Amino acid sequence: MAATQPQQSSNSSAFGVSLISIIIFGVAMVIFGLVIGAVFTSKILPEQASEQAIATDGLFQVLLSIGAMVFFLVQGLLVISVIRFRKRPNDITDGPNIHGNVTLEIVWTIIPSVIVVILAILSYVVWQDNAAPRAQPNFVNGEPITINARGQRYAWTFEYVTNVEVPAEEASAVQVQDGGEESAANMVSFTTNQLHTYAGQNVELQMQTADVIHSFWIPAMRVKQDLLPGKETTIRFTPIETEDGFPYATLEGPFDLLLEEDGTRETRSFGDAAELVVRVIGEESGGNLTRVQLDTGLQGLVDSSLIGSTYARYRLNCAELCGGGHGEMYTYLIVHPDEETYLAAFYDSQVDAVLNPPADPVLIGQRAITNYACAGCHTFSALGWSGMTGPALDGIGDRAGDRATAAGDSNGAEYIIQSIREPQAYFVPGYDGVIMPIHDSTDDGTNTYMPQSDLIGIVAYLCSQTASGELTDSTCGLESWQADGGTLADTAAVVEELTALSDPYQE
Amino acid sequence: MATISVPLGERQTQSMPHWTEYFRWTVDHKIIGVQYGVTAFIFFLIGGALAMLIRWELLTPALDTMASGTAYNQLFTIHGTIMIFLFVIPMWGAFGNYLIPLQLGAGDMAFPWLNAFAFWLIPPAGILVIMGYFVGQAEAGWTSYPPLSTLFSGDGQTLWAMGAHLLGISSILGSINFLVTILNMRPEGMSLWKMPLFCWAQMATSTIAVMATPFLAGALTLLLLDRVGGTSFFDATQGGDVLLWQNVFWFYSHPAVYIMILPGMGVLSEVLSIHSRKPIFGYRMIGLSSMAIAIVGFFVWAHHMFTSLQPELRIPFMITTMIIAVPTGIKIFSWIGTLWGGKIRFTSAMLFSLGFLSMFVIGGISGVMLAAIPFNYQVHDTYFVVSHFHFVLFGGSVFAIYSGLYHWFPKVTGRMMNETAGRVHFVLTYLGFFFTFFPMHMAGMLGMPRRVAVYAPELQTWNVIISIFSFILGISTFVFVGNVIWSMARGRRAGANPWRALTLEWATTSPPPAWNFDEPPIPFEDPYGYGTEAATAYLDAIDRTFGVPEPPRPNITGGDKQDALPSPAGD
Repeated sequence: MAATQPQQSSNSSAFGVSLISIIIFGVAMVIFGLVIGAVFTSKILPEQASEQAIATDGLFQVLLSIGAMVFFLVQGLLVISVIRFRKRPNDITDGPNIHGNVTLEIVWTIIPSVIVVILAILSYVVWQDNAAPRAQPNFVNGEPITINARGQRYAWTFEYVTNVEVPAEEASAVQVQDGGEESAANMVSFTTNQLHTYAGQNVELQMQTADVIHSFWIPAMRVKQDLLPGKETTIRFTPIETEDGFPYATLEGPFDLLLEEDGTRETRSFGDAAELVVRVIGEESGGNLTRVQLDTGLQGLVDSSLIGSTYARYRLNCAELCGGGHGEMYTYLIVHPDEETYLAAFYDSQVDAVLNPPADPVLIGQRAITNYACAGCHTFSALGWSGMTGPALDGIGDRAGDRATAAGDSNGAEYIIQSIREPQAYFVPGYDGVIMPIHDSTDDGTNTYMPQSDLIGIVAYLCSQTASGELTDSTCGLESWQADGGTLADTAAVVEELTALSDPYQE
Repeated sequence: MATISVPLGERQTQSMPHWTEYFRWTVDHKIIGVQYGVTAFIFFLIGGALAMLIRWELLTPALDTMASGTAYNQLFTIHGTIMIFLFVIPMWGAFGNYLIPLQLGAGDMAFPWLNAFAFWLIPPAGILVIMGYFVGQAEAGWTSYPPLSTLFSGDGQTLWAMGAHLLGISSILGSINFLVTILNMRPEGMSLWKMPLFCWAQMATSTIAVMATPFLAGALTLLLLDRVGGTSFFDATQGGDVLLWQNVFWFYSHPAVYIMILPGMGVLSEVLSIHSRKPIFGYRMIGLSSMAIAIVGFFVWAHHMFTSLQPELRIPFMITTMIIAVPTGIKIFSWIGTLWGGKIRFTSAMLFSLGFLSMFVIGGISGVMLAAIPFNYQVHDTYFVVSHFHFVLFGGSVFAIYSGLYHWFPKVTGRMMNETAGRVHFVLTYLGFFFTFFPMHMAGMLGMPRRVAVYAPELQTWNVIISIFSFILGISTFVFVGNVIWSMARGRRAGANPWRALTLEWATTSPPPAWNFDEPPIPFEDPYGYGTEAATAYLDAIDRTFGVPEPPRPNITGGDKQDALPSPAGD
């Protein structure tokens, strides 16, 4: 039984690693870490589209490099150990009776401690810089505006309280309650489903949730903050121009798109109301045609004159589980190249629509419907919505009449009014368990406030949504609804009829 | 079956208890251990099947396999709940129950009746959780954040909370039992510093469980009251606060991560030392680092809340979270020190322990990355986090569980497992695991939130890769199940001490008799004192008393290869 000798003499050979091999291993480890950090940091992160992203990615590169070194160290020692110290055939002895090495143990306690302290300090510095309030937040036309982000199952809405005053004669009615003091109430405000900003603007959002916890996350900006019930939280980021520039454009109807699919070309015509977001690839045929890519990945050609102002577009996710439609709760951040474009393409037209509302209820509704969180649950191709939780709104103008009979309403318009004001009253087959909030004149946390003017506009807009895309007479069973070459013949009469249907309405 | 005569020692090999014993109320810690283990493994198979459904759904960026987003949410909620509360934690209960009395040379646990009671709470709890499918299953994730879990979820959420409550009670009772047993029932000559490191790990784990689990009970009670009692602890419109849940829940659930990993580290300390025939390197530092992790682990909980906590409160938790990497690093380096210079045998148990070492370190690295707040903002609640905790809980806990099962299966059944099948199992699991979970880092950083059935189409390639390898990982489980069934019937007779290990569970027959030891065993002066003549003499004495393993049978396909096993020393 003398096979297992205490092998004091071989201890030095087992642990006696030459200084040269330690140095070679160490240098290889450092090179490996630095190379991994340098090569992969930009590859495994999305576009660097904010000032915060640059700082965060710099920190990540340090973390990745050190992480790769630790990985190399442990896996390397592991591989060396299992190769060098594998049991040889017919060797039935035990290993040397070594119980530890105080110097080594101190070294591998101290070095990691120092590393994590350095990482903590570095992280703190980056965090403090990224989270700190910036000068001139939300500046538009040289003055700040307020942007309120609201999360709601399963949609985002962004309320812009602008620095444009409501003209005196209209504001006087509003001002009575707050004693003439300047407040947000006499500023023009509007709401959108997408968040618009421009490169260089220090964005600061005040965020609130209507129901459960949501989390605001734009991967390209590297920022995330939860929206907590009963609290207001803030998020800050500053978009910048990326290498990709501003490749997106919105095509506004009517236009023809020469679509390329599997080698065949097919012309598809889009009507007046159509809006299509495309990624601009480049000009062809001497600049007359522009190659564009759709969200589906298909490419096509359009007339170059259709490409107006371009912008960058980034996905804005909800990152905290909020229910069945959590994955569909996303929208886009639109970054315009500069303030001028931002004003021309977005801000001024929104302000103008508030100050000078159109007479046509369909146009009012088209704008108003984006004030509400409908996009999170309904599919509606005309506005690019893809929610799955509720019934689709495509072609609702054709179907509303049939549903009215089932729901016990007199006509399609009354059915849509009822569906918005009392969503629980009638369930579309296959969609019981309705989670849609009640939209009426009250606003108490459960219900969502919707003024009668918005309601009428939205009903008119939805009635205009026929499968063919063209206005037809007496859609939704409205007598005054007469088409006149693509628009309503008598808008006042339609408003009057819808007002009568939606009364009584207590403002 | 080969008919090679087996040299038996003075005492005959015991046979396993009759199978009906395992379906009865019994106070034998070994039967309770097997009851824990088999129950937990059945839940592992259920939870794994749910994971396969999750990956099937994620093959495409749209919702298709599942009927609705809610149905998908129920999938991962129950997957997480089962894997944490009904698989990993009870599985360590199985190891603790079976091994602690044996490693301490004791006849049974300190409180045998309590032990049985703790186990019998688990099946009804599991049934409660699964029954949620009949009343609107829980859909708020295993973390169950209110108000989603209070105001917006079905009755399954109530059953979920009741089930989790029972499992918490089971965990507390089991841990008290472990602590009392370890502190009071060690044999003469075994001080705390001469105790096997698995017992050290179970002591640290039980300390955490006893201190932290009552907080889970408190949080669940508030949740239940909010759901059925009309209170509004978490309802902000009535003056409640949703962060209350997050704080109390994570005050339990972060230490719970260590409840799930520390026993695995204990298994590793045993397996690495025994199968490389070398003393554990830095015994005291490994034992102390378990306690350090247990203590510091109580001060890191809010790193789960970096996007919801008051901003200025986030910094202290970043610091503590980074510090906890240090004792974990000590363990990893100590294990490498154990391997260095040893005579490494590539048994299945050893392969899974080596797999743990190489995979767990990735979970540790991503853990430090997650602690860095600015980077955390990018990856919090994304697949990066999903990847991180699977590297810890699968690359860590599950690899350690497999390692432990291969290592102690001979003790439990009296038969060796098939080594060839074990290697196939290891290779499939290792590759399937790595390529399932490593790409999740990239998916998360590039913009994939966790818990979504619908995701950005440009992330589909990553998800298809992940899903394909996850199916390989799923299949690998059946290799293990088949190996267990085959080995139970046809495995080589193990003898008392097939690995020639010095800890006391090997100083009795396999399986041990109901009373464990015929006479109080005398522990060897050092539980890991390999490489000395005294140790060899001690092991030879065990062989003389209890007999040696049946030699390998070359005529059996996939039979054990001689070089895979520690040969009997001497002659």
